[in-house]
Amino acid sequence: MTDGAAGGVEGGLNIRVVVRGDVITAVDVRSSRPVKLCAVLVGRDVDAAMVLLPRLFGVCRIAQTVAGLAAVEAALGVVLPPPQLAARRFLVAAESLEQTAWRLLLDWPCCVGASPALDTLKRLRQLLSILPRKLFPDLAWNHIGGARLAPARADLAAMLDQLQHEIHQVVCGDATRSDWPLTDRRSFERWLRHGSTSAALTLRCLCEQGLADFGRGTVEPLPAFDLAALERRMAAADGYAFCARPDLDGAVHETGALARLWRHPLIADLRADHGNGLLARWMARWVEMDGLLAELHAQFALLEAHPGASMAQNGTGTGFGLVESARGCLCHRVAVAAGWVSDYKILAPTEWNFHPEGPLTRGLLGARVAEAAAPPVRRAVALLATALDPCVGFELVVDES
Amino acid sequence: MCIAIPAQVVEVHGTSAVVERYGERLEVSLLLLQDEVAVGDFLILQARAFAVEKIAPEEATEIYRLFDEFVGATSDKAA
Repeated sequence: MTDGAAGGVEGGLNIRVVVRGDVITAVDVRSSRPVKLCAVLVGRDVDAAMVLLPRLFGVCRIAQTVAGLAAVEAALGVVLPPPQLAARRFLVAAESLEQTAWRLLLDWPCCVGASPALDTLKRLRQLLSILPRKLFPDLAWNHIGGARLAPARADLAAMLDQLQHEIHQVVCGDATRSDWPLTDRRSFERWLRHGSTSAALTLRCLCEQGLADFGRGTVEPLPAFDLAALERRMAAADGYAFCARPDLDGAVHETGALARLWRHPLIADLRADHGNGLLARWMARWVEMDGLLAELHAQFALLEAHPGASMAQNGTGTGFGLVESARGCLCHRVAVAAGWVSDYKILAPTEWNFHPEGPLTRGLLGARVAEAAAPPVRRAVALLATALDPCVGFELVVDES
Repeated sequence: MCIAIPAQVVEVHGTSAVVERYGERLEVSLLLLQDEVAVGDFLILQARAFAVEKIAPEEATEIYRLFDEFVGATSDKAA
């Protein structure tokens, strides 16, 4: 995400930070993102709505499509066969890998003045862009009940090997797999001190600039929650307002890689020393790259040919779809009447992470900026916002008067 | 919302381009795009700084129409 890029037709985030002395004393986060845009799907037949959905929501398009299809299928009583489910999960993992790679290889190195791994990112994106057609020969896979699935297993296996190689190279370089730094603290520290890859250099820059702890706050990760209760909140008369500023029983939570890996041994260890500041937050994304590769392999094992077009049973007319996307928990809620969409709501991860009382605000309030000596305040705050990874641009104003 | 409004290419300068949408001009990198780009093409952007996908004019028109429907805007777009 680019500092100074809020607004525009997609809306954006405006972040205002007040610094007095060496402490951040006030934070104001406002969003102009049009959370009611999904209302344009209302009044359309469900098939047409599912075609339009990825066109409207082009960032994390696959996750949006899969969440939408899951919600509609639940509403119609369509039970998705396991191979179709595996194919969708495979695509979601691939998209998450691409989005995560973007942050790790391009955005974050640029943020700390390190060199981005642009060539690696290009190669990864090229590989990942081919995956859908290796699963669904007709390409248009976003059909209710699934589409004709004919996995090209040999090609997919070769692509997975190449993905693994590319990611290993960018993290470990020519070191062996046993040096993989994502498993325990000792190997991580060794890698951080001596690693010469883009990943190691970027994190080392972060630590050398005194920013490992920056942004630590008290917001807890999004816990397992009552799906039915959340669906009721989204369906209520003030559902759009809830989707703009969500909470669970009054508490605001964080979602995304750090929340998902909260108890991972290395991440928990880093949190113990640095809280949920930038180091733990960035490292969680690297650890998740490994997890996404594992997810791709796991879903690959479940893939098999399937004709698609599962039949609808007796649906209740309302449905809820949840996908863990690169940025966090993405929820769609739909109501369908006689084949037409009568209500549509989306709760996106950015609404949790950039909630006025969320992890950005809580991570900044009270932060001592003099400790972050090398970079100016503006840069440190932009790093935290970028680490929380909004799906829109943000504009940052720092009041140091 | 994770919205991606297409932008139309108005100038190409090697690995970057000037694009326009709803009257707003942006300079974007083409480094991560796999397709060739020419003036008049429609691009999906990420972070308002990188073009990530080229889409068909019909698809761009459909997205503009949907967005117009939402905001009630009918002018100043790039299409």
